[in-house]
Amino acid sequence: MPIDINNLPIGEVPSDVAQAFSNFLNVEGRIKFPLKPTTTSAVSTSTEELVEDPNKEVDELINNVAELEDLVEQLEDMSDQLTKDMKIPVDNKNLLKAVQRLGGENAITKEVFNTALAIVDHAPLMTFRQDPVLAALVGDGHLDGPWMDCDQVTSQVSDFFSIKDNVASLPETPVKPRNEEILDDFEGNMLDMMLHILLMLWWNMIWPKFLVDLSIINPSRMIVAIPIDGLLFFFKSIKWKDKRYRRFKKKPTELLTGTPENKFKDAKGPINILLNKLRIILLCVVPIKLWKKKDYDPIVEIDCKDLDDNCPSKKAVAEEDGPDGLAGDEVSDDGFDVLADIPCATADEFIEGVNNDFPTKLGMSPECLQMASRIIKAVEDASYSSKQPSANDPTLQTNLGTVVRENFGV
Amino acid sequence: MHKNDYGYVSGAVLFLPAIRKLREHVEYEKFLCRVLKDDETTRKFKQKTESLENKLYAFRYNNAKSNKLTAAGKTNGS
Repeated sequence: MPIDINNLPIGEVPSDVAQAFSNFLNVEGRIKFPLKPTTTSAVSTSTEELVEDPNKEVDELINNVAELEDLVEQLEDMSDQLTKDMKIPVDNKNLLKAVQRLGGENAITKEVFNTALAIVDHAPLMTFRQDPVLAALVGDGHLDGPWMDCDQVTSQVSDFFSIKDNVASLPETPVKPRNEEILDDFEGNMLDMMLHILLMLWWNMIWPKFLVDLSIINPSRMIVAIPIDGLLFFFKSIKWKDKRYRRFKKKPTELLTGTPENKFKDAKGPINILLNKLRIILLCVVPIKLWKKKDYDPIVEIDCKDLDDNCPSKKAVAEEDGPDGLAGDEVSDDGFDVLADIPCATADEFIEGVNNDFPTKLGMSPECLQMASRIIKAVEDASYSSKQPSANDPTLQTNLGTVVRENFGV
Repeated sequence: MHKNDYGYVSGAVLFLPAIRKLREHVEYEKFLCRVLKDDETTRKFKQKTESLENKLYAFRYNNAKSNKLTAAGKTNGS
């Protein structure tokens, strides 16, 4: 049987309680949040006002809140005092059952009422649809089992949530900006890839010279194929839909093949340009420079002009180095100035270049290129040492190992 | 003070939900204050919340896993 509100024993509100309630309403309106002066208002605000202690407003707010809490406590004490002896008899069977569920015996007491209110606080979480207090009061609710105390409810409700740290428990170190993280990842990936290329280069430069040179397999193809495939795989394996790559304004297909206009004519995408540069270096420049020309006689002739019109031909490289070819100890950094043709750029500049019609800025960071140059120089020195290097040559291993350790920490 | 036959002042029960609402509001304000500044008053705010009979507010506003202050919290934002 529903409760008829007109039958509830409510009389006239006494004047002191009404006054307290009036105070409560006034108190609530007195809370003021510390608002900073806006840009507009700051123009017309005097300098003295602007240099006020910013903590002052916060202190005022805290004092207001402390005062408000004091008033709330008074109200709570008052209501406790006015209702402490509350004991409303229940003559309805269903209501009696509900009261008993709420912890009372045969009357609505202050505790029963508080428990009911506490349940109301949790009503959406507990029932989702049904008002448990109403169901309990009416007596035809579908809630079974004993009622929980507020603390029990709280602890059970907390199990449903993964509580995140609040502001006060943030880590002390500042959060690393996301874009900086992306750049670091990008830089790290490029460095990793460069390291792989160089390691492959190292192994494939030394070993095929003695093992595969006489076979029908062009050793330079072995040198080139693996790093290039690795690079292609690296760029193709990027999940372009990932948030971290959305800063690339160009589509991934454009990165590889260029703009749609020249997509089917030639591959002028920035990634392909980068790969072409590497192809040129690995196919056309490095073998000639690493091996004496008289030894470098690949079975399959590679025309570097096919790769790029700007590619130095074998003849040009040979002329540049002199008619006698390269003597082992005469190889200098100048011989590898083709590396300098790759514009050094930071990862930031790289992405900026990708987004702004490239390829004026392209390549890895200067540090990376410097490391690459040192490694190649070490390979070069080892290749041109007076005696033929071998896998068991302790000098070669020491030299290369030192350089690798110094630069990569391996 | 007027009392009726059932041991409570008429109408006082009607204020109970309002007072609870006000308590909720105050606890929220205290929470904001604690975020803004860490001093003796705000620490008392937290203690008071924990000592309340109704643990709901401690659950809502004092449920941090850690009390470690941020760099801004240590200097009170200055």
